[in-house]
Amino acid sequence: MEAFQQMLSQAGWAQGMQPWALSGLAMLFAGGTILGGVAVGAMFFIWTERKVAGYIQSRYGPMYVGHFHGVLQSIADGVKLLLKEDIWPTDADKFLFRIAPLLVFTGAFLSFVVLPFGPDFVGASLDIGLFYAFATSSLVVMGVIAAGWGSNNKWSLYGAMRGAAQVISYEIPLGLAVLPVVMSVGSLNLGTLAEAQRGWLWSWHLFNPIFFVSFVIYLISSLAEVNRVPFDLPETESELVSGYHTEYTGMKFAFFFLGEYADMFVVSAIAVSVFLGGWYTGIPAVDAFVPAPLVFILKSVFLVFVQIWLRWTLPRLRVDQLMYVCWKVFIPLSLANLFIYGLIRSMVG
Amino acid sequence: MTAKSLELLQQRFGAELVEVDDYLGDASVTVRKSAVHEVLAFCKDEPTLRCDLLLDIAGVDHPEREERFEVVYLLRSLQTGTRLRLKTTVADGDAVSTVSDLWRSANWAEREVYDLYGVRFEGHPDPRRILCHHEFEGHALRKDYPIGKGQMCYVPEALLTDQQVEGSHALDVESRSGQLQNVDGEIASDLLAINLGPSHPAMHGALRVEALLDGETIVDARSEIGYLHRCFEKEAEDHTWQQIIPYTDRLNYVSALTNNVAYVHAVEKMLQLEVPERARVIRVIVSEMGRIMDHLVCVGTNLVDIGALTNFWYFFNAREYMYEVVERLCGERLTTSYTRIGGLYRDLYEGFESDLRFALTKVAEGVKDVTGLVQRNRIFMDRAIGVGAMSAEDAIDWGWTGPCLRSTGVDYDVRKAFPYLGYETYDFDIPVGENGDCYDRILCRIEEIHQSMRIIDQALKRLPDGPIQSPDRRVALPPKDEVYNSIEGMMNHFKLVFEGIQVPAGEAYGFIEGANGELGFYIVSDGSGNPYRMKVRPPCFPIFSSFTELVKGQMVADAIATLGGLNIIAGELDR
Amino acid sequence: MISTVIWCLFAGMTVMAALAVATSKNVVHCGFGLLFSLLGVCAMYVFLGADFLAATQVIVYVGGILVLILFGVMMTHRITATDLKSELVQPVAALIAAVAILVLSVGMILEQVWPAKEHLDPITPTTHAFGVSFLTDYLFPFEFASVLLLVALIGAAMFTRDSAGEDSDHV
Repeated sequence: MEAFQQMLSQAGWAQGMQPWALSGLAMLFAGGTILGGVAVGAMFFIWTERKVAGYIQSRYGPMYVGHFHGVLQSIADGVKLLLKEDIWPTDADKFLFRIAPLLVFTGAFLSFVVLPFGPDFVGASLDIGLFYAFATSSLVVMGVIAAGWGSNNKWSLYGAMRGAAQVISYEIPLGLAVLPVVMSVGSLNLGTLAEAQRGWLWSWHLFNPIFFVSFVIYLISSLAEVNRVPFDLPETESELVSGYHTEYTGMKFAFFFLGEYADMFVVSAIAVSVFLGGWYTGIPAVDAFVPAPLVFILKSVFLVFVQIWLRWTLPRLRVDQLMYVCWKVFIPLSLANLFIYGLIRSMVG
Repeated sequence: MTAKSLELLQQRFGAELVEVDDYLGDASVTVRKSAVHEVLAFCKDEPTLRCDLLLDIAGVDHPEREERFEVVYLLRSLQTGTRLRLKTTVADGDAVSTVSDLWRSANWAEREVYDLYGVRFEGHPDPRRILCHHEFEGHALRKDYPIGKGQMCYVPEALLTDQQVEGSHALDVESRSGQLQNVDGEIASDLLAINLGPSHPAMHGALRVEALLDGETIVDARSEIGYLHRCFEKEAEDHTWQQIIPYTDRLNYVSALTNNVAYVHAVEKMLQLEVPERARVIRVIVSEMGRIMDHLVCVGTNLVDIGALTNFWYFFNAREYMYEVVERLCGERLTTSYTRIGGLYRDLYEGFESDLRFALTKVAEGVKDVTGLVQRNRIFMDRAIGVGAMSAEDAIDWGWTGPCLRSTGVDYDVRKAFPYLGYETYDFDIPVGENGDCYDRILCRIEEIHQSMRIIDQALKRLPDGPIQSPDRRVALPPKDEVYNSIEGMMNHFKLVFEGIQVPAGEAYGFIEGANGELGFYIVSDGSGNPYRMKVRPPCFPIFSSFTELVKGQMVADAIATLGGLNIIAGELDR
Repeated sequence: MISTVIWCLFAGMTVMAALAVATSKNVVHCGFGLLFSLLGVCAMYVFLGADFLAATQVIVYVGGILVLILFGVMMTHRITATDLKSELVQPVAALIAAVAILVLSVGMILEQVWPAKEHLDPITPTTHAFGVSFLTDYLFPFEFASVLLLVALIGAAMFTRDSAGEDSDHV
């Protein structure tokens, strides 16, 4: 944002503007950039998902729109969703039904602010970046609950209940998993966390045995956090029809959809900055001339690809098994991991 | 066997037996109505009979008789191999005592007889209609019910009892015909009544299950079928024997070829007609093809229900290759109508063998991919092992047959137990499971695909040359030369075309191993050109009757996984 | 200037949402009113430079407590949404309590001498200071609260186990 403000203050046409107007304009620009990025990114991921699913399932996926492998399919879908009739279920809770997609999308969108795409390429370098990113996911839960309740549909309600229970449960191992790394670096700032992994490949946190356990727990829990297979219980199309967004059509549905894919990117990006060396390539010499955002985005996209890959490979868990994995496996494991790391640290110094 | 069991029954119940018959090798006993329960209990418990499996109960209507309805019990013993048909007669308005206390499979079977004929069963725990709508008036299979008469019924049936509903909180006030409007204010319990289907992604076809949930656990469930009921059996009474073949495609539309074979097999039994060897081998090939395709669909969709979507494509791609062969063979993919009474619609086409072998390699690849993905997959095992488990005794009691029964550990397969089409000469194994759960059912089906491929391979190797149609003039059109040049040939042709095949009066039960279990046709003929009564014994009807019992105490997700594994095909379930 | 406008917006949102909580007849709407009220308070914290507190507010109150409240509402009353009403039970007592709280808090606000800073550095790390004071000055309250929460957690687990009976070995 500061960068925008600086850029604006140097631009000719903005000379003589009030400082408050200038900073307001900068805010709008920054927000608009992130919003655009999120929307385009999510569309790209939707297309990727469909293509990857196609290749995994020995079929093609979208092939026509945009001439080359259906690249414009998502845009066509977006236009279709825009033009679709906006259906309201009878007796739906109008207020909740309306705000639910906004909450979900806002929650996903807010997290982008703290993602460190590069040393100087971050929306807001908050000191509590990691903590902030977890906090925003709470909004997503509220959105899911609002959707489930507002739809006036039992299947939606079941989806919402599952979603809420799942997300608040998996936030715990998710948070505990990153704590050893936070302890080691001594900061919650995502940029600082990434910065700590400068150097050769083996300085990435991934290659520390303790942090590796953390990474695995984080990766699996993050799947649950964003409701992806094998933890896609809130929307399980074979059981709950479509879960909490069963009743949604048109743009409202699109917001859920965009929010889901934006969230996938967010959890991947956090994993990249905490465990996978952020914007560093792992070879110091290469770092100098490769643009940092490119490295960061590529790594995140790779993790998104892993999520997609898992989705089309694994069956899904049952709701009690899901809770079992969280409370009886991941939480004790991550606590033990944290404890061992603390012990080692206090003994080694 | 037949003679001995009849003798035994005669000794024991001499006075109660009205008529004893073993026409076409089917032991058939007519007993007085008052003794039905006693005789059936004897058949079940007597060590030399041990009829542990009640296949089906059929009704027959003879309006001209004083006691116009016949109720026919089809019994089978898995231990002694006894096949027995027990009949009784009942007048309009009278009741027969229920046997649902002896076999649980009798529950739905008796409901069906009640629904279609109006015969009441005394002491039946749940005397409701089953295939027709609860507002339907009259009984569709009675001879005096006009075949073209439709009825418009609107109000859906409430499945759970009012008491259960009162205690729960249902959202869909409309679907409960206003019963729930008084449910506000005090809340009696935390149960939630929920409708699974008839349009729900996991209800393959149109089935409806209303479940009472405590959290995610199913406390009670009731099922409703009949959404796809088109009264095939009534239609059959209005068509000539050959004309019925296309209707059999629509029974189990997933393995239509097997259905075609089953139907003509039963009719040929009544005609005592021998089919040429080439036709017999081809029938083996096509029915095994049907079995493979059926299993591919069932396992593929079952895995989708558990969330493993990709396997569906691996199986459906393979099935697509099979369908190409089927299309070249019959001209149709789904509605094959490939068999004819006395033979086949047409011979194999040039290159059939190489096409089929190619398709089978694709199937083998698909099966290999899927087994690799799921068989040892921890999530899949957690989801499938122990889910929807059924013990062997219960399964037989419910009337299960086919892969579902074999998954419980019973090695009953019609192809081995009562070989037909020369199955005894083929070398194949019957895979059996141990626990009768979702996992075993899937693995049994997958192994059966392998076994079917073995059978097809042997059949292709031994495929003899020769005619594919029996020259028997009762069923085959005479050669053109005779039609044009001799009066007998001409008349023969005329009769066959205008009146259809004349099946001699009598009755028989012909059955084969369908993809999902024993597929039987109980046929009564009065010697005219149409069947007098045609009762289909679809394998999934008794299987689905046990569904609600099977899922009680399980979670919703398990219920869905279980349903997929049972392979309920609405087309043959509702007929 | 612009931050004042934004501050006013957030303050307005907090108050309006709080009003909605108090006046809405629908319990679920009250819950969502609380959501916006809490988010507004969170924004206040951000304006005060207490970023850690702000995020904690969202994580604990929105992500945890509010979700549980709504969860509880949905669990117990299930889905008969239309008759989920909150009613005015004892207006006189409520009025007295409200006025008393108002007087007390206004009095306190006026009494207290507030430490004010001329200029607020927007990004002051507070996490470290929090951690240090938790483990030094406020160690006892901190540990006490942890033990209390642990007791509550175990108690909750016990209760659910009892009611679930034997079926609960999976959970």
